[in-house]
Amino acid sequence: MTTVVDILPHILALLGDGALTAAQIAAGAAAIAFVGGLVLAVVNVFTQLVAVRLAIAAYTEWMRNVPALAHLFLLYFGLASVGVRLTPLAAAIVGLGLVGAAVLCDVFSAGLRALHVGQREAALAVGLTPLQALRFIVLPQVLRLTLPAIGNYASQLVKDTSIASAIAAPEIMFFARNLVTSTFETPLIYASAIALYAAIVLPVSWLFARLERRLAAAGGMGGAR
Amino acid sequence: MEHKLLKVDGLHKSYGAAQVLRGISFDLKRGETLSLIGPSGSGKSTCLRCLNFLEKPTSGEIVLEGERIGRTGSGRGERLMTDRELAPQRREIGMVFQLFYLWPHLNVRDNVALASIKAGGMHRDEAYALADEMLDKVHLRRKADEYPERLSGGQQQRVAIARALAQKPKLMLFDEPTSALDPELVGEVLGVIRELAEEGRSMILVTHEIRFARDVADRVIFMDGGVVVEEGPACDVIERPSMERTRAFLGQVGIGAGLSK
Amino acid sequence: MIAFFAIYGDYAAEWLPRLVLAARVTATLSLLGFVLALVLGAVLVAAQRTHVAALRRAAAAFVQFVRAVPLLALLLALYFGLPSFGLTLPGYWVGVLGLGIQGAAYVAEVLRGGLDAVHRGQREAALAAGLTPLAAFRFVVLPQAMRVMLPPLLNAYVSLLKDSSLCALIATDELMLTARAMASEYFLPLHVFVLVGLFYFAIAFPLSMCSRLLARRLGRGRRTLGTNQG
Repeated sequence: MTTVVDILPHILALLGDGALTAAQIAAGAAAIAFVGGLVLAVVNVFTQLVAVRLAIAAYTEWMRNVPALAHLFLLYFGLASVGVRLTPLAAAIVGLGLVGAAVLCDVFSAGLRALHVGQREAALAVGLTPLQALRFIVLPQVLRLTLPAIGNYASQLVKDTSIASAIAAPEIMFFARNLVTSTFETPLIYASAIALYAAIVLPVSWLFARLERRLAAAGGMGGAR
Repeated sequence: MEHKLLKVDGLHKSYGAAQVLRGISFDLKRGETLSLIGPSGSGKSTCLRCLNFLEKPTSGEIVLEGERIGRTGSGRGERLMTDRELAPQRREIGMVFQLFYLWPHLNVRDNVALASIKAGGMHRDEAYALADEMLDKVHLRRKADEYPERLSGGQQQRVAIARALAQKPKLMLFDEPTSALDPELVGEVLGVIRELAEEGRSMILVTHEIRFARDVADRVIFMDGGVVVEEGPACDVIERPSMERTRAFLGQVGIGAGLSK
Repeated sequence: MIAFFAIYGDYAAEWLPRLVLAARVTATLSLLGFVLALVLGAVLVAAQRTHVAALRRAAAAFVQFVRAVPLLALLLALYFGLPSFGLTLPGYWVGVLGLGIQGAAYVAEVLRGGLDAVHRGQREAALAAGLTPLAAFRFVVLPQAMRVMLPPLLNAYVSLLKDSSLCALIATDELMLTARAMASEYFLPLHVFVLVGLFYFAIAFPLSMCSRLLARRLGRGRRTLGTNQG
């Protein structure tokens, strides 16, 4: 006769393992998304070649108008059929990372365009190279401008790791479903899973909110125009 | 017979600790044009906005042709009216705002006619006929099918005046109607206001155009720091002010004693 | 390379009809979810603006909670958990419910943004002209708010469309589940999933584009309006 109290630690331990996997997926995908998005955005905004901009636009539109689940299935099942076998974890990281790169490309592009063109001009005028201007003047400001959007993306990413359960990645929902079949404490298990997600996502949002406030206080964009 | 159209008694308004109106009282006769002048922050706009209860006075009475504005019930049951209950009373008072607030999604004719249809219960044709008539009055009939964004500031404000006139109000209120206009557009709006005054409308005009107030208003009230400092016939207050504060204010805005133009 | 596309030629006749049928399910599923999201979102906004503090706090808590939970978790919890409380809903309706609840939080934000974007002077002028608060809302505030709200609402629908793919995991016969089934039936996951990706793209992309064009056109208009007093 197992009571709720007996079984809860077991549930939480297993879900906790799932949370670690979710964290790994999120971290990996975030890295790909951040670096990829930034590079794409810089190229997108500063290139003169229409063909390049079209190519990037095609990429971002494809990634953003097709569900993430489809991308994961493509990477996991699709590639396997032509001999490239990715682990569930790898497929999840690459899939969510590629989608994230498209999202952040749009975010950073908008941020770069919003930044006053005079900022870059002033940097070049004092003798910085374009790359230096980018590194020391443009990017820091763009990052501050886009922080809210990045925060939104981060929260969404943590939640999207749940999709990886569909390709059998050992994360939270995967363990939750297994637990249900083995213990039948359905409401309790899902309630715990949901609570666990909330426990991860809320601090992430809160952290970003604090970061925004601190950067705003440290003399925002004020006279920087 | 002297019939008081409007009686304002002991108007107070505080925002938290800040007292903006400290006991304003005055009357308005039918057909009279009254101008409120004074420095920024003196409470003139707040006073005006209390008259149609866009600001709720902290205390005081406003009576329009014998009807108490904004409050209902009596004794212990007395309370402030809701916006819904205020609507019919507001119909009697036409207001022209400093920033015009024309409705951008409607063309000029619809701007003037909307309230007649939705609040006045008129049929569309009747309302449109009235709108055209009012637009005629402000010399903008030809712009009736245009949208506000295509009009100059002066034209927009004149449309706003037509909109208020379409209410067939007992009282017209003007809250710094020309303060947001480019200088060369001020004249056309003042011209319309002068015509309305000469027609015998009952009007209260808050303005920085002191010379205009002197020429067009019957009476002037000088307000400062939330109180009435001086009150009297327009020419008297502006050309021969009896209070030092009035003199100081007029001097600051470039009206020396005895200056006539 | 040509061989890749040749396969589509072979199977198109079998695949396309199935996918089109499934696409209809996806479209109606997300549409119903969207309608629910609109209704709930409007209720949330009303609750956020009420004088009753308890309602305000309830609405805020609801939004916070919903935004912290993944849609999949919500769907699975409802699909597998509700029967324990005596309520067994088919995957389709669990999907509508889940999409509606999650969508409501976002829609509420969009509605709020739209209403706030209308200058309060607009409402004042309407009240001053003798319109009741309701009439002022209907004829002056709402029409102007709609222009601001339309692009983000279109985006919200596109989001819901994509999220509907998760309903495949709760046994709903929509596009993604059909694709998954077909992929294993024919042992051609690569081709099938690329094709289904194209289906989603074909539905979502035009809507995304519309939203972007609308936003640009309305943004331009508003800048002109802004200089002539709001």
